Amino acid sequence: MGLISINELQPGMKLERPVVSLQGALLAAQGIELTLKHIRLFKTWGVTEADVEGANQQKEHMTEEQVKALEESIDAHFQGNLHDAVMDEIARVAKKLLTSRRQSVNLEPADGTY
Amino acid sequence: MERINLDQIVSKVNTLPTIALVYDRVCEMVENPDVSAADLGKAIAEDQTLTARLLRIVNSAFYGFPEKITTVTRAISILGFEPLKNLVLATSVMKFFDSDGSNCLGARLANLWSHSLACAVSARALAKRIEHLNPEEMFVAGLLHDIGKVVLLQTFPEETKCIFSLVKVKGIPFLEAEHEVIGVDHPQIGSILSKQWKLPPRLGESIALHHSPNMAQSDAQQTAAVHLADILARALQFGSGGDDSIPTLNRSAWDALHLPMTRLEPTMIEIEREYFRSLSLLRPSY
Repeated sequence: MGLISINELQPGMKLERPVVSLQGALLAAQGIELTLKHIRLFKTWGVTEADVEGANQQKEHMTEEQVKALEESIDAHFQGNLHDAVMDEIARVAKKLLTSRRQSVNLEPADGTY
Repeated sequence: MERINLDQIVSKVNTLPTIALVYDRVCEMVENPDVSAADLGKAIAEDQTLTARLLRIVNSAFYGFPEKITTVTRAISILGFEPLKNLVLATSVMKFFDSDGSNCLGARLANLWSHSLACAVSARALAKRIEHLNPEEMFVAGLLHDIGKVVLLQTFPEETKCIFSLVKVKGIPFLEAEHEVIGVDHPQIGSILSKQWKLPPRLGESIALHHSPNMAQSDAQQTAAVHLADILARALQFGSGGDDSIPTLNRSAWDALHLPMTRLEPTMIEIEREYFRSLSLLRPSY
């Protein structure tokens, strides 16, 4: 059991805990099997994660194309801001974190700095 | 679509739920040296929803207290008056993002809440690494930075629809679309609200100037940090501030922070972790 991000939810997964909207409205009850409709509903309501069965055993591995596509979409959001060293650094770290969010990997800073 | 003038906004702001009442009283009491934790606890306990939320937050893993805290008075004795004051404000603000409107409005407010929470977490993470900034205060500043957008969404639905359409169609930032459609913008609206709520000048300023931090006068560092926190929250794609773009980092704001660039990565890693932890605080207990 474990919390996984909305982007990783797949139809067929079973909820360990109910999913509620940020205002506390119940969107899906505990124990139900997710359908595409549920996932779309969660996205509309700004839900970012859900507690599903067996989540800890799942690790999505992204292909090189998928990683590249994700990085390109991030660059698009930065739209012309990338001539600045600081923005470049923010974009670099964002790419790293967003990719690992998809892959549910834990990250620590490379040199242990705070 | 007609332009909105500031008087219209002031009158709408006056019709909003009186979220500020408890906060007002709390502020007054905190300033008063004769007020005890018990007095303050009693005042807050009059608002049951606020009390329940406060207690849930202090008892969560967020604070990591070993004993269970069952009264507001106890929470105050442990946390202190100032952090409690900030917590009351943060908790009161949550209900402001509620809606019983259409699905579209509900979803937009939910996304705006996620973005505001991310900005709050980011501002706090930055404040821990910048000498003169107070992390608790910065959390509140981040949480409130887009409060003007909430007012807009809640009180000018037709104009809001137009603005969102324009953002989608032209691919322009929300701020630009606001100027085009209504002639005023969310920093201005937020500024009016912060005066209404009698928020501290530093806080009001960071709300009013988070898009133009170089104009800050009472605390350039605080406003600069909120400006950067907004950028980080958007870069990490938590929720939505109304558009997909990432604002240009204001150079003088960056310089005012005296933050080495190498601190950005550990800060963003902390934000990533803390954001998901904070989100769990909003779930009702079941």
